[in-house]
Amino acid sequence: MAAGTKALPIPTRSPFASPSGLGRSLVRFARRKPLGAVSALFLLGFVTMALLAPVFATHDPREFGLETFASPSSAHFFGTDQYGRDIFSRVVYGSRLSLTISLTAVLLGTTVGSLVGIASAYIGGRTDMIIQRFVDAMLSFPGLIFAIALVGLVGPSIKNVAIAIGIVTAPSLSRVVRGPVMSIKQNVYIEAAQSLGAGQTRIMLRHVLPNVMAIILVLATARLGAAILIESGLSFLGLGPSPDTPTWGQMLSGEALYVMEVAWWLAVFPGVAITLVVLAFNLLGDSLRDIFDPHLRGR
Amino acid sequence: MRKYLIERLVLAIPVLVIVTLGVFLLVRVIPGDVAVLRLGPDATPEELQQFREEHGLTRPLMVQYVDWVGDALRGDFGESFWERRPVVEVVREKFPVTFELAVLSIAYSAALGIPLGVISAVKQDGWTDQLLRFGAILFLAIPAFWLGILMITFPSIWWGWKPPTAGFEHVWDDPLGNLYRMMFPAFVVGASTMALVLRLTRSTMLEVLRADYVRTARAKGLAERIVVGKHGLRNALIPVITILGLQLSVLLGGSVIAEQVFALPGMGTSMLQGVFRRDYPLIQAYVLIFAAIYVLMNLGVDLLYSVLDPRIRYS
Repeated sequence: MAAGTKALPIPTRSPFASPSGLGRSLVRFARRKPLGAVSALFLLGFVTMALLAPVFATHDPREFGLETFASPSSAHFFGTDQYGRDIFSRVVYGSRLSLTISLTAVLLGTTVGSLVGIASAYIGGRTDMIIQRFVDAMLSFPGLIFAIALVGLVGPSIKNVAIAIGIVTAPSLSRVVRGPVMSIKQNVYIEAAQSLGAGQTRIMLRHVLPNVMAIILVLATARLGAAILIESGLSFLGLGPSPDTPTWGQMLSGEALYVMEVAWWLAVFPGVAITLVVLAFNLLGDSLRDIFDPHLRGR
Repeated sequence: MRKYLIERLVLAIPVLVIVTLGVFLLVRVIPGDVAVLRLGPDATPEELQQFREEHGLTRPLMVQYVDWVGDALRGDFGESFWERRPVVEVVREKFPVTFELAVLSIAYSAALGIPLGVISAVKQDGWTDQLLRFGAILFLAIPAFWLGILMITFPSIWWGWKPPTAGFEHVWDDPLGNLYRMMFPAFVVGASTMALVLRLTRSTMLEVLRADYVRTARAKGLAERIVVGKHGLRNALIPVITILGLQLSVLLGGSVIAEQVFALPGMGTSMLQGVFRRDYPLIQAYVLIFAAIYVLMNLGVDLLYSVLDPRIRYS
């Protein structure tokens, strides 16, 4: 550095890097969107429960017991099923599978969808036209029907269910991301990057992507709820992962259907779990959207 | 208007081509040989080869595709592996059930969702609004199959009565009995659409009610009922109708679950059976039909939209 050149003042800490800055943003979020904050807390608890399932569960979820159809009590919080298995522990373990599948699916669908959306809008012209017709075609398949056909044909497994839900998620996401990119690419800084000789891929990843990241995160949060609904639907229809792993959808299907009139707790708790988690993801998604994208508020 | 119409039709063609290509390839790319699946593991190589030649499976993929599309356009979807009869016969049998279910659920979700959305908007931030909004959010989170299970389980425990889940008479054979049988699954299928319609009606109503012409109508001294109903609702309905049109295909998809819960002999149940029996021609036909309905509905909604909103027609 040449003598006499004044160095620019380096900020001692960025607002997001320091814990107190992040803490302040969170407090502000909680004040503006209490429902969103409660949902986030609930989901945090839910993730913890999924990660520490062996700690939270009171019984082995697969272990048969002598006490069949025991109603909820201090020994079995959510009662037991027709084989004496502890419903609470099965719900706890079920959260693992639901979370793994929906997170993987949404991560996959969001990544592919966003990249396709950005590329389609940024390259534009005939490429955009062709990609969008493909997106139109993908959007024509009702999500659940497509997932059923796909999983049915390749066989149900955690991986296949996640991929199927990811494929269902991607097209609509790419359509939504495409819009903002259309206007971002008109900006002067994109032109500047182009004149500096930056390649298309570099511009898309370094200059366009960061500007649509907030939208992508909001969309992904909202899609998590939808992913869980499709996963539980598939499980209910008998197209979930392997039968010995309890998933929430599975607990509400098959033999259980015939005995619910004797033991209402079989019908209630797994369904409550699905509904609460989907509700929390939707509410959190709504709150994030209101904050990041005022145009969509209240829609 | 005519230019717009032609443009929309032209755009729908490549989409349909990609959709058919997708459905065709869906069954071709998966592991497993159709001939082995159909004839069983005990079939001799000669038998397998004969089967492949008989069904044109040895020809180039492109030729097979063109043939398949040509047949599908004429309503020939091949023969069901399991039922050993033309797929189109099976579809013709199941389609009315699912279609009725979708129409019933769309009708009630509009009949309930629109008025409730208007009430919610007019009473903005009041307790009625809060309650309706909470209900809508809840209905969007409840899985359809669980709603169905609750509807069957609890009335049965409390009153020893439950919605009918056995037998089926077509609407033209026994209209009342059919309606009684269908109304519960229709409620399950349409619950989330109703919530969606409520939310959308509310938000567009709120926007419209703030418009200048609504202020003018109020200033003229018109009754609130006329302001809301005539000046407000009529304009707020345009986006709602779009959503309803698009939801029809979503509802057709959602019917798989309700048909399963309430044991209805519709396309959903039939497709699911096809999936478990690896009945490829049947699965292909259903996926194609569901997608084609969507493309056509989309087209129809676009055209309806241009009729309802002259601004689109002339721009």
